[in-house]
Amino acid sequence: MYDVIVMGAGLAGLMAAAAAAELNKKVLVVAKGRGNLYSASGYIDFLGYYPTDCRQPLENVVEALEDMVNDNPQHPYALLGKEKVDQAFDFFLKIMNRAGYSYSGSWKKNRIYPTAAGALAPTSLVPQRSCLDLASYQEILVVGFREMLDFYPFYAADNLREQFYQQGEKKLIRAAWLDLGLSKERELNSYDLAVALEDEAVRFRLAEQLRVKVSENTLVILPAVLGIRKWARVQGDLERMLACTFLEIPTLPPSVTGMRLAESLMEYLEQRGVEFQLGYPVTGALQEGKKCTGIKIETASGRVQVKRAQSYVLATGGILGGGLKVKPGGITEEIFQIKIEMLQEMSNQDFFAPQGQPLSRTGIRVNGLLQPVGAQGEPLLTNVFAAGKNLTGYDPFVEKSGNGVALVSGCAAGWLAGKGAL
Amino acid sequence: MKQYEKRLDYCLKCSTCHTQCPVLENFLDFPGPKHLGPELERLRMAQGHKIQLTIDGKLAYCTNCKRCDLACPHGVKPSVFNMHNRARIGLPLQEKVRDWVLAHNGWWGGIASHMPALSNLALHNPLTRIFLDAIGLARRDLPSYDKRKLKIGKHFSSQKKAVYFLGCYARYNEVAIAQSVINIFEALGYQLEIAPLGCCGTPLFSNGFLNEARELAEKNSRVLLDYIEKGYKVISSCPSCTLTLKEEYRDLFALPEGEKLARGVYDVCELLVEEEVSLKGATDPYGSAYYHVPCHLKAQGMGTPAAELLGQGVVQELTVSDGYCCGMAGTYGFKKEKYELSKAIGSPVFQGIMDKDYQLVLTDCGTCKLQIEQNTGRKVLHPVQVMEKLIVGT
Ligand SMILES: Cc1cc2nc3c(=O)[nH]c(=O)nc-3n(C[C@H](O)[C@H](O)[C@H](O)COP(=O)(O)OP(=O)(O)OC[C@H]3O[C@@H](n4cnc5c(N)ncnc54)[C@H](O)[C@@H]3O)c2cc1C
Ligand code: SF4
Ligand code: SF4
Repeated sequence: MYDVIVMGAGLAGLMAAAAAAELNKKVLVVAKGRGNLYSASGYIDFLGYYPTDCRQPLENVVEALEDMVNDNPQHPYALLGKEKVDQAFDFFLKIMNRAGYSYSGSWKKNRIYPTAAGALAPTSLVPQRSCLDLASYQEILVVGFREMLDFYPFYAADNLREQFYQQGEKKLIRAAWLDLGLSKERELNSYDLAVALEDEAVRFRLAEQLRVKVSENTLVILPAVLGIRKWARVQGDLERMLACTFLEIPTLPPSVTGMRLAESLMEYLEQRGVEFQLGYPVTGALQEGKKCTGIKIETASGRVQVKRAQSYVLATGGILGGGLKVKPGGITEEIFQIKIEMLQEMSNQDFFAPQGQPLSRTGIRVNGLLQPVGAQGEPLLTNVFAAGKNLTGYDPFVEKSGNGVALVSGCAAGWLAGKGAL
Repeated sequence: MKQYEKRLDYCLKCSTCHTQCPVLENFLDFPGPKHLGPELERLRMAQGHKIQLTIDGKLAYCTNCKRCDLACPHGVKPSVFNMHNRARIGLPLQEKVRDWVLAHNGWWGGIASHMPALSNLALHNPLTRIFLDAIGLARRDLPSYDKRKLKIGKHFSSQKKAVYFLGCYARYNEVAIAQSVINIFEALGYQLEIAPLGCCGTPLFSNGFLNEARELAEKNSRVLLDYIEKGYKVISSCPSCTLTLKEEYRDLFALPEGEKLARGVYDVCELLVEEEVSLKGATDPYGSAYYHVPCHLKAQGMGTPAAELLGQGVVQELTVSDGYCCGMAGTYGFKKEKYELSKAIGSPVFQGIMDKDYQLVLTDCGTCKLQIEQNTGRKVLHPVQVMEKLIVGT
């Protein structure tokens, strides 16, 4: 018997587990597989664009949050309110520090960071090592690797130069290809390079090739390849060998930065006694009235294992994460069979419409306690708290709020479940 | 369409599996689960399986640890494609001979365990070693053979019935494990029988002998299903045997009654947990233990029943480690060209054990045990060996 069972191991599920563990609860995380952090950037975007048809990165985030409470009360941020947002972000910064992979920043202020294509985009929290004041660097070198075909330094450098120019900043931006001398038997991705660079000899080759191209004033922008588990060693070593500063940027999946976040968080949680059971889906639940009394996991034998807790967090990732299933008859949440309200026009004609796709706003409707509710707003379940992409009322892609909502709602769900607020 | 092929549609190419492959992490030329599995399979399907795409020989480096399967957010199982295609790799003759020898370990075990002294002597004889080296076996400790006879108590009939699938390791190499299992289940009032069967087939299919493994699977499944019909539960102390009986017979070989068989198969500790065996109140608990969770146990998705039992107070400080593969992967670590890689894969496990002065080191799998013992110098026990005296009494 557990105090809290969390379903889903994405950012929302991991934060819920952390919040419940912080209350000294006995926690089990059950998930079909690993979450979307292995594809997403590992940056925490709170709210990049709002209202969503505004194409300028949001300046005054605090004010936008206040507007949201009035204009869009179903938005998870509006439901939870500013205080919970504050608490959740503080908590995240605190535990990532404990986990040995610190983050910096605040939800109140958007920072502008380059993407792999060299565009500049808003985000809120970045790993501490990436927390730099870009404006202070006059000289930038964008570096790509011959072994890795999905990052083009010259293309990214051109875009960056253009973007900075539009902002009235003139910088010297150069680009270079490096060759780490790794096997070219197959195309390598950023994860592969990050693994390779954990080897001292490969690191040395990188330093040798860069040495002639940089000075202590240079900001070297490169895809996120500076180590996975031993990132601190890799980055520390390079900074010692070369005086320049490095800025890693998130790449196409697999995402090294997201993976570091996921794995340091999971390792920390394991040390705190949180148990993980990954690889098989939760296929259903036992219910007595509005109370969930157990969840069913179908294991390799095909037999169903029942796990029980006082309360449960449902963080199964919505349509993309596999928690909600789209079928000809409609959309349903698979574990508790919650029917999802269909929004008026399910698919917008214009794929790139600024207000986004209704389908990406589809999810479970909840109350301020994150309990799933029915058409009249009555709670359907009293000890189940939903979080992350499972929730309706927001569009992570047009708002740029995916990890932010996962973080805040995950944390809140974990607290509520841990406190047994019924 | 087979079950595992259906899942192909769910692959979004997110590469999560790629980041969890222990082989790739230590050997960059390995193409990884996403590429070898769903990516190449889609290509083959698009061509209606007509064109015989050459199978990348690197596929032979897959350990079938199934960490890719567990990682996938969308329920795809890349390892199944690997095991299917393993049979189609063109290997040099020397490796084929060597793989044949390893794949038939049950057969050798049958002979060797009848004359263990002689076999153990032969295994350590320099001439034998030269021969083994010549066929591509690594110069490492080989398992020794054990001739002790199993002692089964007086036959009695009971409502609770179990048939014990010994598997090669407990049958030929370490009878003591099997004896502990027998003692425990007899003490719990089980009517226990030893399945009149040999190998489960894992060494065969993981070395590419798919057809032979299928024949064995059909035979084993017929015999075990007969027992299941009569109310027996199938138990095994070997995680690879239980995984194969549960999953591979059903998914890899698509045996028509694979699902029914799977539902009747239990890991020994899984059944002890289900029986609600209590180990609370151990008077003389062990101070600390390191428990290495074998990949094939983790892959069954049932959590870690042995740790649940030991955590009841048998061990005060229990370190449950399931984050790393030990690198042995059955017969893999015996292969000359894979030996160093196998040690590199397992190094975090060895380091974890040597970092602290654990009173006990535990794992359920026989070959994990060999690997850990050889690389740490520590004696490794099966969890049932620790539980036995608590359940059976003295
Ligand atoms: C390609 C991509 C890139 C993105 N990049 C960014 C970014 O840069 N910044 C940002 O802020 N946001 C980004 N987002 C959005 C953001 O990643 C998501 O909104 C957020 O990660 C959702 O987290 P989650 O925990 O709710 O779901 P997920 O991370 O999807 O996790 C869902 C979990 O539930 C499990 N699960 C599903 N069904 C079951 C079941 N039946 N039983 C048990 N477990 C189950 C899954 O295995 C998984 O562990 C991106 C999204 C995508 C698709
Ligand atoms: S098999 Fe699964 S984890 Fe691997 S790429 Fe496909 S969807 Fe991602
Ligand atoms: S089964 Fe293990 S070794 Fe094989 S591809 Fe998957 S993760 Fe890699």
